[in-house]
Amino acid sequence: MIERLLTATALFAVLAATPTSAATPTVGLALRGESNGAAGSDAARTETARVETGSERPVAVETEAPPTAPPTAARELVALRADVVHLGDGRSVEGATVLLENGRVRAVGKDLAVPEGTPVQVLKGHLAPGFVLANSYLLPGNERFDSTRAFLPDASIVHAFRADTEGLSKALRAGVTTVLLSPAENNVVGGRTAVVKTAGKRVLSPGAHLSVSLSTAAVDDRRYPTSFSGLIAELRQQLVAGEGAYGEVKGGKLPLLVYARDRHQVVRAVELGREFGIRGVLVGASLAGEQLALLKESGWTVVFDTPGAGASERMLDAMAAYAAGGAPFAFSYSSADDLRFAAAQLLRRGVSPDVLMRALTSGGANAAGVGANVGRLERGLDGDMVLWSGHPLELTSSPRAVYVDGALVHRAPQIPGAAH
Amino acid sequence: MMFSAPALLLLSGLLAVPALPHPHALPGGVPLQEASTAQEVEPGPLHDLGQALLIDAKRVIVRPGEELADAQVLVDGGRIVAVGTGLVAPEGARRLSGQVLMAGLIDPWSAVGLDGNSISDRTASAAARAVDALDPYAYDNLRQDALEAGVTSVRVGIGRDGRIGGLSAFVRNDPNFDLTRSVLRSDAAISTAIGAQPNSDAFTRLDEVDRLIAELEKGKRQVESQADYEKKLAEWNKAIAEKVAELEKEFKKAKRDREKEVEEAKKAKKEHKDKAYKEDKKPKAPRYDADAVELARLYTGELPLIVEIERAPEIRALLEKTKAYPRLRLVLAGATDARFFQEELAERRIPVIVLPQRRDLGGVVAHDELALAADLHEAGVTVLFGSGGRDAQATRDLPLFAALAVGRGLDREAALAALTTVPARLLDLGHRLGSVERGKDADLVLLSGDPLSTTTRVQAVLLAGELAFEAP
Repeated sequence: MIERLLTATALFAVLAATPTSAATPTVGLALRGESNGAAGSDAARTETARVETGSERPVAVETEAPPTAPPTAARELVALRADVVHLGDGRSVEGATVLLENGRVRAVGKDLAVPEGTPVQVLKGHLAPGFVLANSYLLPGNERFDSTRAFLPDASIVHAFRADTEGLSKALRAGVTTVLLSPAENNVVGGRTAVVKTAGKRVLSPGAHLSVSLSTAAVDDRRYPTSFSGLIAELRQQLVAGEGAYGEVKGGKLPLLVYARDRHQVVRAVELGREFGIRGVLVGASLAGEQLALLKESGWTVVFDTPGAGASERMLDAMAAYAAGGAPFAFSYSSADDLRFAAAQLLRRGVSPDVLMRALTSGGANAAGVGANVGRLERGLDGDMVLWSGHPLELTSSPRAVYVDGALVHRAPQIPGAAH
Repeated sequence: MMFSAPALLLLSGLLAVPALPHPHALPGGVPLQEASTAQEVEPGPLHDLGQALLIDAKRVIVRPGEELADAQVLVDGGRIVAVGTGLVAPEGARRLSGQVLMAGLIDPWSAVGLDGNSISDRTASAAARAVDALDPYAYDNLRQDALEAGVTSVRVGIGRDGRIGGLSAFVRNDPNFDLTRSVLRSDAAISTAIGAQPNSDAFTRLDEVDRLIAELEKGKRQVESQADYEKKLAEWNKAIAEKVAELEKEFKKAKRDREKEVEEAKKAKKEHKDKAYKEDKKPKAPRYDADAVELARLYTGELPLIVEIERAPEIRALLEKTKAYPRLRLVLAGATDARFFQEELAERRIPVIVLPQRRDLGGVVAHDELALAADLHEAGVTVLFGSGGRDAQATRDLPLFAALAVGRGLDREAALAALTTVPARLLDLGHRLGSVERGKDADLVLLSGDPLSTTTRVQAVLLAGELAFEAP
């Protein structure tokens, strides 16, 4: 699916179909498809789209070849050995080595034999895949929310992506390497989500889902639809008609990202899914643990928002029940500390650290549709890693170094508290 | 740091306290079976159980930086009666064992047990008491949640939006809350806030500082007028006494003179008039003003003043203007911009209650307040953690705040102190709470692992020696 979306034509279609609106002021497109010289392979192609958002600084949106591309001729090998290596699937290996080749993982193992001459860095601490968050609230509100139209099936949030957004670099410093950008839940249909890296301007997916909101924020008495019934009726109408993005959704080509916070909204999402053969993720279903059986059977993945301090016991208990229930889940990103705080709350309620590590890495990647690129330390996947001073889920630990595509993109100062 | 030899030192140190010799505190832990420990110790403020409890732990955090390995703590009559290695339970004592035992955590900035109106009350004055806003029949679940996280006591303040708040209460998180039994102090501090309104502008905030200073001035006047009254009263009493003495000395002569005068008056057929003594009027006591009385206690440093304040301009104004009150025990809460004043805060020994959580309440460096605790500690400022005094449920998350702060560079020992000994001392309960030492209240937490680890679970909590929570 990723490959399909990344073809130049598909990307062009997505970009061209986006109307000029308040959310995307002026969109000047300069699209070129070119062969990646370094890769030297037809399969490895890079499409570069320039998206100008009205300011003087253009943002380059690069999409790279899928990780199945064959290794390049110019091999750059580097090996990192750490006290503990977390693989991203919930497992961890003590004293393991990660061998990187051209920024991708070539091998991971405990007694890994590395090719002669490979530089080996021995690191103190835990090496884990960079966190992958299957939803985020990073972009400015006015870039996520179109107040005039409730239905924007042809919009793409990727046009609002600015690599120099402060929130992205904050997330990076906190060990988050990949995030999904989503339209706000005020729009009933907000358009396509995008999955981007927090460093290096890379767009992993310019259209991971179609964003749909069943939350109360989508029902606005100042514009259509003004009620839940109206909202569901219009959505059904569009899905039955099946034009454009709705057709892709109906055919199972494009998953949905559904804001469903209350339990009745979750039930409606599951019903719509059953009726039209739709799969996807449910964002903000904080009481999903009270609907575990329904959700397990439905095949939807829950993306939990991360409550900070003072979250209600009922919500935390429900989250813990869901996490322990074996159904797939991931997390949203609002702030680095809220994220780890939420994980800590669940640990204190007995959820296993392995389950939480999986949700923060491969679970997030799978929910965002980029599980083949990031989220695990496994052959062929991107070398997105974080070196933590201790176990990543201990609040007393902090990220010491962050690597994206094998390159060191952030290093913490020696004394964390003295870095100002 | 674990060590075993100082265990004996500790015990001998404890034995040196002459008032409370205790058989169970003997090195080697030879128990005197016939001794009833309950009689040897002053009864605790809560319940006299009449049954001792011996807690066995792999690690006892006596106080931050002072630990015992494989040690025991004997609790009786609501208090800790012995701490050491090799202690043996007296006959009939209950037993409890676990990994880590430490003093109960204290949240010096909490909202547990208060209703929202009382917390933010605009009209509360200094004499209003938080204890009168506590509802013993509500919020049991919040107390229970906090207790299950190891937070055994909290300070709750009222009147945040007034010109000065009321008297804070310091209470135990007892799920069976009782207004007499669970309140450790009904006058733990006076607390207020500068710029707590979300949209307050800079001038309003500076004005709030001035209003606060005006209240302190009221306290100063109260102290002065009281002193003046007492001085004048003493003078008056002295003058009266002198006159009385003088009269008594010349009593016989005066009596004779008077009798003579009366006789003469009779002869002259005139009416006799006694001599009138003209003395100064008795000085009047200053008019009783309950608020002024409490404000006077602030002025003299009897009560700490806890000010929630975030941004640099008003912190600067507050620090500048409180210099005129050298005995004031000022404490800052929140204090996002405190870094700009850390030298002064260290020098003037002004502690800061940090809320290590993103709040966006303003302040220049609000985005990096998580590292504030580490930075202030580094600069020599006394640091505490609080849950913010707005959301009662957040008290439950106090230990996680401390862990986050350690993740941002705060020394572990300082983090533990910020949860125990420092708040106990700040609220003048250092003699009763904050550490696992003989004679202190048995408000203890038994944990499955390190107190700052996210995987640690609370196994049991004691409130005044009573098992208030035990993990299933």
